[in-house]
Amino acid sequence: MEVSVRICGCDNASNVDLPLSSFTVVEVCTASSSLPQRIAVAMAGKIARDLGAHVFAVYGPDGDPLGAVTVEPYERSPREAKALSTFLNSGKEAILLSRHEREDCERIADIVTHADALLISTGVAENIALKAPVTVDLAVLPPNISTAVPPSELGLFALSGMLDLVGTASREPLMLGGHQAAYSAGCAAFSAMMTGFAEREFQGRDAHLVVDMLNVLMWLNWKALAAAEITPSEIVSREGEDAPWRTVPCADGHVAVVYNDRDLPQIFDLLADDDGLPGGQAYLKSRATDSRHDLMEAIKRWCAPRTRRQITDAAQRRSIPFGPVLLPHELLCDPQLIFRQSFASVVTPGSDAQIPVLPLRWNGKPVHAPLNPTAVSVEAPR
Amino acid sequence: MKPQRALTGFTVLDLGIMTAGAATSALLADAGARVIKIESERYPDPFRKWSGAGLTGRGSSAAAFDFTNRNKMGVSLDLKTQRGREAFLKLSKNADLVVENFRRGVLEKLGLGFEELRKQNPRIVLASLSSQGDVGPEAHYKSFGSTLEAMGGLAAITGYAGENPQVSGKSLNFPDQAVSIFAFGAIIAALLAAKRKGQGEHIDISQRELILYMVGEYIAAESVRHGSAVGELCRGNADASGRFQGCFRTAERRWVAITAPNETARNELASICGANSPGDSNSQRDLLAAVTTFVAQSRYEIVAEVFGKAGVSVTRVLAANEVLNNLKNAHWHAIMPGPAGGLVKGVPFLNRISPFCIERPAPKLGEHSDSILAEINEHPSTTSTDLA
Repeated sequence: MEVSVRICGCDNASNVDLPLSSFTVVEVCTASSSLPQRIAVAMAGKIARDLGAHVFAVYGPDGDPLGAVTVEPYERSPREAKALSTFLNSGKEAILLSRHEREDCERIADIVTHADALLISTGVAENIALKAPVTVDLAVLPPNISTAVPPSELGLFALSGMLDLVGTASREPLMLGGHQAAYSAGCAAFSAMMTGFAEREFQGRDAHLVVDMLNVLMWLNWKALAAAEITPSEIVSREGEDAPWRTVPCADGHVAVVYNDRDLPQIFDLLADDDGLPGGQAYLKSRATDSRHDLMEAIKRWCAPRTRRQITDAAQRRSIPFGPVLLPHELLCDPQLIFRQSFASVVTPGSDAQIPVLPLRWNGKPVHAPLNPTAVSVEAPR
Repeated sequence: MKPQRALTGFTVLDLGIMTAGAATSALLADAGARVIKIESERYPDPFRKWSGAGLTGRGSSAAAFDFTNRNKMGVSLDLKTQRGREAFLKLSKNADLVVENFRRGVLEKLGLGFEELRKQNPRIVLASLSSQGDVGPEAHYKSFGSTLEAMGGLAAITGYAGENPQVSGKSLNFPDQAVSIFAFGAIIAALLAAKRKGQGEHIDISQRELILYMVGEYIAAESVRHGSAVGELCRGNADASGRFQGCFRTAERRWVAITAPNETARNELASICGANSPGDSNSQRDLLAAVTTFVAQSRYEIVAEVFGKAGVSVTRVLAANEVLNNLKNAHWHAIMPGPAGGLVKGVPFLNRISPFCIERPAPKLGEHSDSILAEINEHPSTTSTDLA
């Protein structure tokens, strides 16, 4: 299939000397790998690819299993599924196995012999797993925990304590949207791989790194776990409407109301700007001292008739860290992201999907490897 | 002799504060780098006095600081004074890396931008972590992590079905945590590149763009199908790819997370709970109602056993104290006992051949000033006002 990449608004990405361009990375999952493992391995490989590595993804005879995973509400059936695979796997080289076990093992072993790193899900046969100088082994759970069925990403959120933090106490706990558990584990697997490269380059030895998704989520959730150790009587659970940081509705959507105590004078100043509030700053300050709930109510009243732009401008002028809740279609034309050249296009016949590029600039330039190694064209800005 | 680890021999000047910068440097220390945290009496890391979200002090400094700064050394330098700045530049001559997450423009105002650092040390790597990146019309915005969840697209896809978007909030502040895991690997890529090319590198990491990256499939889908509205994208605990999933309350009034990982498990689940099996949205609603009823009438052990046999994943929703209770029972390394007693933040993954180590507690302000500044012939005891 003919595929090309166009880096949006970016005429200099191809000039970046990609830091991993001399590295080869191989992803291998097994038929028994869970979906979160597959996604995490694919994310680690994607970051390596975006940094210039040559990434091979080994698939069964039916091809990339993520190609049948939908992104709802956009894609309603596996036949329509495309976005997840486009995002995670564009630019990688697919290796399809046959159904002949011996032949396949030889083929994988041959590929692995030439690899600098192997990203595998736990369960890949040992005769393959430790053949590369750097092996990153990705598991769902730590070694001495087993469950009848491997936990899903929702289950991992539940076991890490993260699920108990979002939502309202009287309702069900709420997970973060998308694949945050698997993507976080994928970022950890990428960093584990880089640790292995450092071992090899700086200490002259091979490396075997192990990532389990539950430990990654617990690491992310350290604040709640630390608080539970230090002040066990004040464990924070789903605070819902009483949460100090939350979103509130406004004239054209929602804004994130986020602040610390030292921002309060600026917030009082912001709210006193509204003629409808009696007594200005002094009133607000006295009420806020009594109740954070009252302050949040005042913020909600202030936000309700205003647009996200008006709220963000007024808040940021006062160094208050409020920000607009942006939808995917708004992100695609966001001035900051366009300025930073944060998107690339993956062009296939009949489709022109845009995906985010790596969240960093290297010596002032965006970093982007070709999204397909066989047919690439980098065009001028649109 | 100490064991050699991946970054043994590297020196990091850590200007990271709060979570994102400080936690990234902590990982570098765990991998063997000598990390020198630079603060001053006038400008300490705000986490030293942090009292939010239950993270009050457990000794001389706040737990938030202890958790994210263990394994580091501490030097007190006031970078706003000429002598403090000069001492920092001297230290940078022998350093490999500077990590910072100040507001944009602060490093340059201090006269410590990348070009200045490179004049001192042409091979130095500068890792800048910021809300929106170094450049752009919103680079100067003040943001905390949850601001960036909103501005990066994660809030738009998080929330009860059809309701308002939500952020992870103060107790999690997800982007601040996630960025460190990514930044650690990106920094090693920069160190490798600097060694290979024999020249310095500057990486500029945007937390907002990291969140954008972590909703990348929604951007890809939106770019070809167009026009999702508020509420459409908030789907509660529904699986992002449509598998049957949700949180349900057991007979003990405990929440459990349930996922049917494939169609076979879903059909088994429907059969156990007496719902119609495959099909349209009506049967999805029927199944939801049937599972809700079944679970509400059953104890957790029964739900786990019966559903587990059907290939359905069932896990308890744990509160933070329950997660800690589990620490005794498994191979945990994310949170672990610290060298000074009590728990500290551990490591997100394991290195089997040369394991990460946490060897020293978080430093007191300027605890190692004497020994480290002596290396550059500065003596803090005689110039304390300027240096600290």
